[in-house]
Amino acid sequence: MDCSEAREHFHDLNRERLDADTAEAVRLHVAQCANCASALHEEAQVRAMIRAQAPRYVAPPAVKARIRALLSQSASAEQSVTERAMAQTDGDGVGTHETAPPASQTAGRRWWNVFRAHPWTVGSLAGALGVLLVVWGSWLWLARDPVSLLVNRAVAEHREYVKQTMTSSAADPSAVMRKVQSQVGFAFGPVFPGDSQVQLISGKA
Amino acid sequence: MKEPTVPLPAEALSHLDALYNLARWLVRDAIEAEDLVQETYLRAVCAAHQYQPGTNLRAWLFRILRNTFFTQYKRKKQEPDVVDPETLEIMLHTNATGKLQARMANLTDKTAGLDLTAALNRLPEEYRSVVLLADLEDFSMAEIAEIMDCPVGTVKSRLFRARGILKHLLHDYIP
Repeated sequence: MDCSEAREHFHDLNRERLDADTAEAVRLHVAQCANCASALHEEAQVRAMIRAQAPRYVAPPAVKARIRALLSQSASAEQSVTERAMAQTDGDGVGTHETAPPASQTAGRRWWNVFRAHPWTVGSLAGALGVLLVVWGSWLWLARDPVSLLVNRAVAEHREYVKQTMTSSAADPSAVMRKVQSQVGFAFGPVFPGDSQVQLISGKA
Repeated sequence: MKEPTVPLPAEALSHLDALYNLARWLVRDAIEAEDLVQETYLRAVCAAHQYQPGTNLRAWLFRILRNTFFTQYKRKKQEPDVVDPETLEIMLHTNATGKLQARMANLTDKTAGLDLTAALNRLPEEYRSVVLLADLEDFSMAEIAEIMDCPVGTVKSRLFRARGILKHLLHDYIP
């Protein structure tokens, strides 16, 4: 066994996972080769230091509980599918094997799994979606209100009439009112005649 | 993603701590590690039909964890304080010239105070993962190659280099 061959086995030798013959051959080479002996020693040192001193992080109990719930949910879902398939097999005696749950059930489980994994994200998204739906619904309701539509249309028509009559002017307001009345087709109330402080002296529309 | 037709073996839960440990080393944050582990199990449950009973469940879960890390976390941020490849070469260069030896001396002076955790965190992710999987989780070379989706030779090379770097970074602790 040469140096490169021996070094191929250092990791497994340190893990004590080599078969007896290979381990013996590696040890024999190391005993005769100072470089490989040094390399094996260094590798063992680093490995021992990592195993002894590197922190081992442990999953928090809450994470363990969530993962346990996820796995048990997965197992129970599968069990129910199996039971349903067996019941169907027993019922018809033909052996109709239902191996996959219905699409609606699988989609529901998928969404539930996503919700369990990211509850805050899904909750925030659902909240934002709800607000959007409320705003959109309000806008639709207002837009379809018949009174609002009538008022909007009346205001628009009024503006059009006023624009048309802007081109003419008269010293007598009642003449302007008559012209407007002739265009809109219905009678206005009495024109404001003025009082002691305010006097209507002309009209322009 | 296809739905599972078989449940994940109950044994999967027994690997939670080991998966969380690697997740912490990868993302370096407790909350993100929790998310990474949960996402790993969620993916494993969804892909349970792909798992062949009797094969190495532990390695399969570790592979999912590392793939999840790459797809969801690795792209988010650059790894801070990782030793760059040029420095690695200098550290491993046994026949370094005087100039390189001087640069290495400066480097080791700066890192003399680092403890093992800091030294491991300074390794690039692919080196750090190999060391942790090999020395902490006790995976074989073939298993690590499967987890990291690379040839066994690459794993051996990375492990050799990573140990060399660690030895230099921890020269105060390893004679």
